[in-house]
Amino acid sequence: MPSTFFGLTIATSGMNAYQVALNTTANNISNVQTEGYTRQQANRVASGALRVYQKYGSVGTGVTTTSITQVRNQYYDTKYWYNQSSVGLYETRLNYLQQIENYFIDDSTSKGFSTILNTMFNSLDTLKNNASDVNVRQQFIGSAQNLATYFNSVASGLGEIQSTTNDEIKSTVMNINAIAEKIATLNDQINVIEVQGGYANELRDQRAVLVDELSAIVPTEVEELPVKDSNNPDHYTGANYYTVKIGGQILVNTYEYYTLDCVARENKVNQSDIDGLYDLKWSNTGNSFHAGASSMSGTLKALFDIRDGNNGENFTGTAHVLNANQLQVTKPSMTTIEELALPEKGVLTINGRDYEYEGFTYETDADGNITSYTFDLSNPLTVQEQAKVDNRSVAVGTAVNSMGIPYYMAQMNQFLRSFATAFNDILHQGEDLNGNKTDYYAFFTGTDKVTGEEFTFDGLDSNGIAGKGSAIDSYYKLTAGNICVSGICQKAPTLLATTTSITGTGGVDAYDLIEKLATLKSDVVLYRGGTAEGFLKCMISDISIDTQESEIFSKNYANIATAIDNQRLSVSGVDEDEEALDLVKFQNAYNLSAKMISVMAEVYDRLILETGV
Amino acid sequence: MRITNNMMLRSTSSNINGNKLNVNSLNNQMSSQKKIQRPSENPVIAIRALRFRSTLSEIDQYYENNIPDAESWLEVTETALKNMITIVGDIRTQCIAGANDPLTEDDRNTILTTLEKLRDQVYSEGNTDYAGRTVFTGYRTNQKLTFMEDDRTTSYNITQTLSYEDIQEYRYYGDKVTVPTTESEVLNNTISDPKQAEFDRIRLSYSEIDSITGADGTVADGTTTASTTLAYKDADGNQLGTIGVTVYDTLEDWAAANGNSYKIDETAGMQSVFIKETGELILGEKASSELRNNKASLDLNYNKTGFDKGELRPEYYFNCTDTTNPTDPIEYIKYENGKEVYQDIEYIVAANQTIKVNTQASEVFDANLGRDVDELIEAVRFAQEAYDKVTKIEEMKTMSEYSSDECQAALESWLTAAEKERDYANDNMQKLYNNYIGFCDNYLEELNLAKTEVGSKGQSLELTKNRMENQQTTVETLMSTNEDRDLSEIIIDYTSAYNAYQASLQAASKINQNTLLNYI
Repeated sequence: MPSTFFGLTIATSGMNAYQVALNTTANNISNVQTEGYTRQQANRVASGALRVYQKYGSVGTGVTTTSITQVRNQYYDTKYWYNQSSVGLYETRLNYLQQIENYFIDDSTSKGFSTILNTMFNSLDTLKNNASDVNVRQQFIGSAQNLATYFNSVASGLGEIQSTTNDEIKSTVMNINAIAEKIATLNDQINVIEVQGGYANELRDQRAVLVDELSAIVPTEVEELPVKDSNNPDHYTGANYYTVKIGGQILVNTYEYYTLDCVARENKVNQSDIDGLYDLKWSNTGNSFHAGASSMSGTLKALFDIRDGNNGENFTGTAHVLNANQLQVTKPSMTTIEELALPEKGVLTINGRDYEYEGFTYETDADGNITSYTFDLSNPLTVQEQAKVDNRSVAVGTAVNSMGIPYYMAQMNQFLRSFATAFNDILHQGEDLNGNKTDYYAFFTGTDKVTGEEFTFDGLDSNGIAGKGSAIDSYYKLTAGNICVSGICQKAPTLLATTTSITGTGGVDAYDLIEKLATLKSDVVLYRGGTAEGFLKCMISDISIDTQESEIFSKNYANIATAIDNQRLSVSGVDEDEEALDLVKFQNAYNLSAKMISVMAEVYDRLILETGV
Repeated sequence: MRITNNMMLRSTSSNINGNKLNVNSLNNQMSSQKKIQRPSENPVIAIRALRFRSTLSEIDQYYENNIPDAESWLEVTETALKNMITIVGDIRTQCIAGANDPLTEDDRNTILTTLEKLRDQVYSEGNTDYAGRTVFTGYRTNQKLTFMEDDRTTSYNITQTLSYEDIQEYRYYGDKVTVPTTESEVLNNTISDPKQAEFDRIRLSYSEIDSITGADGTVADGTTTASTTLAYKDADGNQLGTIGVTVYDTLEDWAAANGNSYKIDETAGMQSVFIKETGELILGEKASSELRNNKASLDLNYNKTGFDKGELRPEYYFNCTDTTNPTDPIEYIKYENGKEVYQDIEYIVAANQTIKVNTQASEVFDANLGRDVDELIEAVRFAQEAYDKVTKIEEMKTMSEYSSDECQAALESWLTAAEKERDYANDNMQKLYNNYIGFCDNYLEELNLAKTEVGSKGQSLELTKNRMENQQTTVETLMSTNEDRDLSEIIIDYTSAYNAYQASLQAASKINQNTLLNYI
């Protein structure tokens, strides 16, 4: 026979339990708009029955709240995190590609390449009809300078984008580091709580939000394993190992976390790169973290794709040791001066090791194609190194299979070099209005960053010695960033050549050279099998296809993300109606338990005060 | 599936955003009336638009710049040719008038002055310019066709090709009468016997020549070196042989050297005479018939310093070198490998269609025209002078100081000589007038042909202009079809997108207004 007052205890347990349930509901309702909050529920079980040694056996002892747990399905989290990296990748890519695209727009409102090129060639045609008119000459020179300025502005604009992505890489990496630190701290706090029994629901929510954020930046994998008592393997201690991997490498190992460093490159990878691009390295080991690798994804990969994307066209070849200081590279991937995107000073990567070079020369075959390069190394190779390097494949930078800034820069350089070469070669045959030869200057030229002098593309180095290579005044020096119309011509339009001979068979209005120049617009193949006119078409199709793809994928992955998130929310989100219903339910239950007590009070009243008195 | 309020809110907000995107894109279309705002929205349209714009910009260049420019060129050229035709027509009229002798002295004088005036104008039309650019001078639009001032310093070395076709018969008159002015002169001076000699000659385009250069490079100027040889060649350029040439300053010098008569001694082979003053190569009979028989031509290289106002600049007609500044000679090439070098200014007036807008002086202004008129004037003047001489002597006969019988008899002989000269001169003048009517006809024919050509070019340009105008419209239409959207179409789409947007807002305002909590 149990205690006479047992009923009171049972009722009290009900009141307690529903008090907790009501509190949990209150907590849920309060957090209805909290980001990342997972609804909680108080779990109740009937308390253990008491054996009362009666015929009817055991008596129920009321209710116990065993735990307050989150309603969360880890499966959806994993799916969400996996998808999130693609969302981040395409969203960021789209953002930057649209910025690049802006530079290639050419319509009635913004005057782009084609409009400027058309204007230039129309001015050229006008010049053909008025070859001796200084004003018309000036007009043509002006329109040619406009073309150069257009490319200058695109190049600096693209450089700006490269710089922005570089900065964003830095801030993103700092964000990763911060997240790693926070997760490690949370792991600690969670385990402290949970090892004592119980659930650190709120902290887990916070941690999940951090992983949500991280998964958009880099591909993130999370693993949570229970900590077992080593003496008693079946015994679960309540604590968990929590491992976060980014791109397959460990970022957080329960309480430990690793950080990434942004290390500014000492050498450029591409000729037109801006200075100080960052490479990522693990702080503790110094190993590289290749966020731009093809297996990667997420915002960080998008940033690297835009910043370093060379469409897989980096410099490669086979190395041959000439001597300790010189390395010859045969079977090069870049065989013309036009496409040459090697930096003047840089790093050759052979067999995973870097060898710095401070200049190069190249050798050409009969058709003018480059057959091999000779690099002057900054540090002499040891005998062992020579053996390691010889006949190995060599690369400068990595093949980033995406059309990013370096790709567009290289394309522009390639086009401009072909165009300028053809243009200048024609003008070199001519005479100016005063009957002097014009082969001493290049019409389309560039200015040396250091000396400020104009290039003449005479194939000589600073000592006036002919050669081929990075130190030589050749079209390799001409880039979209430095192209301009020669100051000689801009100052004195009479120095522009329009004919091969002013006297002799010609005259001031002779225009044989102009006729040749006019063919450069749409009759001479200059670039990617197309004409000058076709340049923008190539660019537009490249950028549009990329942008379109990013737009479509960005939408798709965002939709998938929404779907997964909905499924996740469907499980763990707080629903107001449901909570209201709970409120009714638990209030009723509480009220009933309270009623129970007053009923019991009446029962005791009857029993104690009125029975047998 | 369990739906929470937040899920509903989220999907509502994403729907509203979707609708907003639509409204925004249509709003952009409406304000720009373009189908696409960025190339990536539809690369096909974007690239096609580039092509259209490029075509249109070319057509604009043809239609708005080149064609009007070409029209002006042609107009200016045509006007100049018309004027030129009038001038040559006037010369012809004078020739006809002259040919209808007998005329009074006054009439002859009038003709003479008119001819002299016309002579000044003959080439001035060639200096016509369009916007500061001389139209008849090929690529050398910064220079005039003729010398604008008398210029005594400029010197040229000129190579002129003389063809057998240029050989003319020409009469030379020697031993002209010099009217005596005193009695003793009447009695004592030898009475000249005017003679007429007829030779074949080739006239250079210039007179007052300094020297000529022979086949062997000898520079013959008539004083230090008197003779050299000239090489002649057939139509294929094969050299056939040489002709000897003796250089004299004037016709008188030639006569003086040959016992006061015009003679070419060809006993030792073909010979010719070059007169510096008149710029004539006078051929011996043998030489002349050799050239004619072989249809030969010869390149005569000569130096000339000093040009008169109105004379043609040699570079438009001949290979020559401006040697005014001996240290910096300027070479001009008019014939290259025997072919004329054309300095055609061609304007592009449509895709792959060009039009030659300029007419070169050498095509329309014959270099002989001026010299012809000069010679005519010279002949008229000669006739005039001869006539004056006769009058003068007749007058002398009536004067008292010459009344002695001796004088009268001598004057009678003087008169006979003067009359002989007058008759020769008259005859020569008549012949030249008649010849020159024919020449003028030829010149006129040439000019008219050129004028017709320019006119027909103008007509074909007009056709091209119309075609370009049509093409411009066509391309503009195509461009518009490619990239523009019809406003009414956009408005319909916009209205429906806007309605959808409004509806989604309406729905959002209703959702979650009440939850179960409101009822407990």
